[in-house]
Amino acid sequence: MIYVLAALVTIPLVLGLVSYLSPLPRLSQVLTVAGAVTTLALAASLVGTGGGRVSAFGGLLYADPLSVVLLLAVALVYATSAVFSIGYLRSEENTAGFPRYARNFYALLNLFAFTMLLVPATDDMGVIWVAIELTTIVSALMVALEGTAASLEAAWKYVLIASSGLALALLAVVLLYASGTNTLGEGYDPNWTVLLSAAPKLQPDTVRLAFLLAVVGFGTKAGLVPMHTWLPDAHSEGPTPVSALLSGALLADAMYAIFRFYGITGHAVGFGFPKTVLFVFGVASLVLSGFFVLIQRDFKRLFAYSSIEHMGVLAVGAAFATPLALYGVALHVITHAATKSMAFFGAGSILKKLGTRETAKTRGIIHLIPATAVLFLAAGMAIGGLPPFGIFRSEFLILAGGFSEPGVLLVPAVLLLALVNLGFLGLFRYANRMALGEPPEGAKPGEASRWMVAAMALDLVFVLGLGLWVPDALSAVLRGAASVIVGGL
Amino acid sequence: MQQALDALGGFSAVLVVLMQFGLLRSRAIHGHAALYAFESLFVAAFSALAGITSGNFELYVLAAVTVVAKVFVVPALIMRFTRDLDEHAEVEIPLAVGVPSSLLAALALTGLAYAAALRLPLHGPLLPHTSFALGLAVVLIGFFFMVTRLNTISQLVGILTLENGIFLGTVAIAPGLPLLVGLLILFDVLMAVLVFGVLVRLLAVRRATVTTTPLKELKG
Amino acid sequence: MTLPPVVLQILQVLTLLVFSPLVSGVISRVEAMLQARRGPSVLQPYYDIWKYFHKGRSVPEGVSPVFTLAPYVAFACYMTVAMLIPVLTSFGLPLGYMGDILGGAFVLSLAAFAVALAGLDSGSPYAGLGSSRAMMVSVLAEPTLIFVFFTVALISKTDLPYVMGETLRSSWGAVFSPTHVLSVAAFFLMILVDTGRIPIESHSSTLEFGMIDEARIFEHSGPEMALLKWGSAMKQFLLYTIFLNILVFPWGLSHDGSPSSVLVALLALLAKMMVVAAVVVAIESSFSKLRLFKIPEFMGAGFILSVLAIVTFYLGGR
Repeated sequence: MIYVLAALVTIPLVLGLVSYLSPLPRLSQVLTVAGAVTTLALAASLVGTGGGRVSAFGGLLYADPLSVVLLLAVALVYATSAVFSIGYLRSEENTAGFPRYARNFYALLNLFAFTMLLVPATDDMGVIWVAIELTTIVSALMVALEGTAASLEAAWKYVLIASSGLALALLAVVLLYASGTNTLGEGYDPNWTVLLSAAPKLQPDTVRLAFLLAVVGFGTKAGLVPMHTWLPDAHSEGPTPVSALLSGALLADAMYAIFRFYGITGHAVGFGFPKTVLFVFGVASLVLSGFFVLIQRDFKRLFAYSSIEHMGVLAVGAAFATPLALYGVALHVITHAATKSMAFFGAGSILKKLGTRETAKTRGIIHLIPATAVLFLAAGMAIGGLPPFGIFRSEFLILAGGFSEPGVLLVPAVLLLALVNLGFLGLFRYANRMALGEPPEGAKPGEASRWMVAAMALDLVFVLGLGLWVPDALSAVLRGAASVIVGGL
Repeated sequence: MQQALDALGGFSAVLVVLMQFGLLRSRAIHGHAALYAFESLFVAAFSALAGITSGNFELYVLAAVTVVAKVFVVPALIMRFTRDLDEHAEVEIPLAVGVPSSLLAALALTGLAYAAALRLPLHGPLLPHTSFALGLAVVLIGFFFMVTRLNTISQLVGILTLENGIFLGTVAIAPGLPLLVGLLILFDVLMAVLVFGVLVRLLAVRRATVTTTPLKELKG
Repeated sequence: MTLPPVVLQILQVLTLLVFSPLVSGVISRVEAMLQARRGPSVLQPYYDIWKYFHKGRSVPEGVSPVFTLAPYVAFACYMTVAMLIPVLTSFGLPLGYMGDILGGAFVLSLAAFAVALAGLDSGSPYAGLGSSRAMMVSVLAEPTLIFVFFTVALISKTDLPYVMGETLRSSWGAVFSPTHVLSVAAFFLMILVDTGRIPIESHSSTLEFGMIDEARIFEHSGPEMALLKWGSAMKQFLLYTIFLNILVFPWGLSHDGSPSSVLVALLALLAKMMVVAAVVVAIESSFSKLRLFKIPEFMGAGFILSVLAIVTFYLGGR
């Protein structure tokens, strides 16, 4: 299992370097797709092994069920993005700067995947922080790849706000470490497992402050309100595969870091405090993004706000902290990754076809690009939480988990229900309008690229499949992940 | 001996904060770079002193790497980014809040940092509370600096000083943090500077300015 | 053999009277050398004072007695301060207890006040300008000085200059403590201000519009001018002495009052002065004079330092 894990992390890194050095864009393309699909297969095989706990190099490489869930989610978006990129880049092949653009694109894509896979694949809280900071650096360059004034501004805003937030997160890591020096000695490895087993003896006030800083810091990266201001811009201005990776994988990575703090904090000072904190940030994200979804005129921004909403769902689900809700949270990480990347791919295809991101100007795509439109509509419904799609199942589980202890959690659970429906309304309204109706004049029917459709179809397997049936192996991993979130060793 | 080491450690920590105050007064990019270099130097000195006190070899390594990376390489990179933008580098950086008010605000933030840090029962080998509080003060002032200086380079320097403050705080309360993590963080800083540099140049080329005032197309 | 306290007391004042022009002379000489000029002899201030004493007086029309009296008042003030602070001895002398460090500061302020008043009284526009500017500067410097004295007093739990120096001697590591360093830095900035050094004022300038301290004494002449010149050298000497023997390096003072130890103390003091003079010269030659409107910013820096010192003391426990 440890070799699988090592391969999982190494493949994208090597591919990133190869892509940068490779003289042929086509070569990087083929290698990236092959590597990314291999990564997905490896991640799936980790699920197959039941998601036990492995650790090597003093915790530098590490996996437990929660890691496996994240690895699967990231690898899934990585693989589909790699497939989608073939189609996405095809239309630019004849432009002057293409070889350079493609080289940078593939090098960064793979490195970005590497950093995101590294986050859940280590036990060392310091390395988790470093990996997340690296994702910022790499992805900011990807957002800026388009080179337009707006994309540069978005990249600047993103890297500035995210790095500031992560500075606070680093402070959180340091404080968490310092809280343990009394019991664990001056010099120990800041491993999650070490800290968790020492949690009852950590210095409580320091842990509280560390958790707060971690939620604010990593929450900036996860797009929790009110630290979300960079997110819609970066997601809408970057190339579509990057939007998918940012939304589906990166945000979940940041939430993952918060979950790691969550378990330790809960064991150190009781779960009351961290639950409240997560709940406040989660509900704030739900409320604000729900309303913003309703008034968006740009469909990529629409999905960006929807991502904020789903991070809110994760936060609230973790705050419920009942086994059922946590199971839902773990599942939601995967379903959201699949669904949101699918939605962004659809949006990217429409953008390529019609050359606009405005919902008002997008009409009747079902007549122009039927396959994409159907998949896009499905993604829209799935994102809104309609059955039989995966998000419905995970959100339902989270809600059911909230209702299962009605005394304390009734009000939050009802709030969540209402807010999720609000977001759904907004999404569904737009998806319908965009798909149906008369197409704009002069637009020729025909899919933008078969590869783009293929990527969406691959996503659909997960989006629909997880809604209908959760395999037993995966279910076991999800149960494990649920207990890891609340610090089960 | 110990008393003198303690005092010297506290002294270098205070110097770090003073450099941060100095940044608030600095209106030119070369001033920013120089102050950042000195600030990093004092942070490195603090780390080395902590190394002497605790006998922890890793702290010397961190100090040495800090000197190389943050005293020489990073400021040189910052100056390089702005070399092609000379006409902008010489102009006074626009401020959202004037110098005297900034200094007063920074004083208040320092007080806040002390008040917060003293509530935590943390201990370290070197002047625990004072130095951690000072690190926290550097972070807070760094945030203030970033918010009120309307220039991309200033914001970059602001981010970098945040890291300096955290490094100071880390050495004060958690000097045992493994070397690997410390080095990785420094590596991150270097990467961040490079990426920021690329963005600054691209922005400058496209907009012909390094001020942030025109960057308001995107509303979040 | 020990010298009686009275003799020591007199020696302290004599040290001030005799050696203060020397320090000024050394500073201008070294400064000139740094600027690749030959510069005046280090004894030039003595020659100047001698020359002024032998010149006739001329008094502007319609001035009040304040104009004539002010130089004498200021001169007396400076001599008084020399009795309050540890110039040569580490132990308190009989008259050393007649005022604390704030008392000393007040007496120095009185001297500045008298000179400024005389400048205004003269009716000359330049002298008036200098006086009002000097008052503005000292108003800005006052809070910082008070804070510095408070901080040092908090550390040593007393406001007697002798005891303050003793506190530092007993724990030398504290010299580097943040609180101490910050207040020393703040005090040093205020010394630059009070002695009319760059970046506040240029000593060698002859441009009336840039002057502050120098302008105040434009209308004086003869013996009064000599007293004022001598007085300003004494003020510088006093401030350096406070800086050195109380705040920064209170070592080398005479502990028992024996003639040899007093001699050592004198030489040590002069040596320390030379170091400070070197620093001042370095600052004078590497910075330029600030515009008048930038002076508050400079004072602000000093104020920040002193407040930080107090914050560090109260919250850091050191």
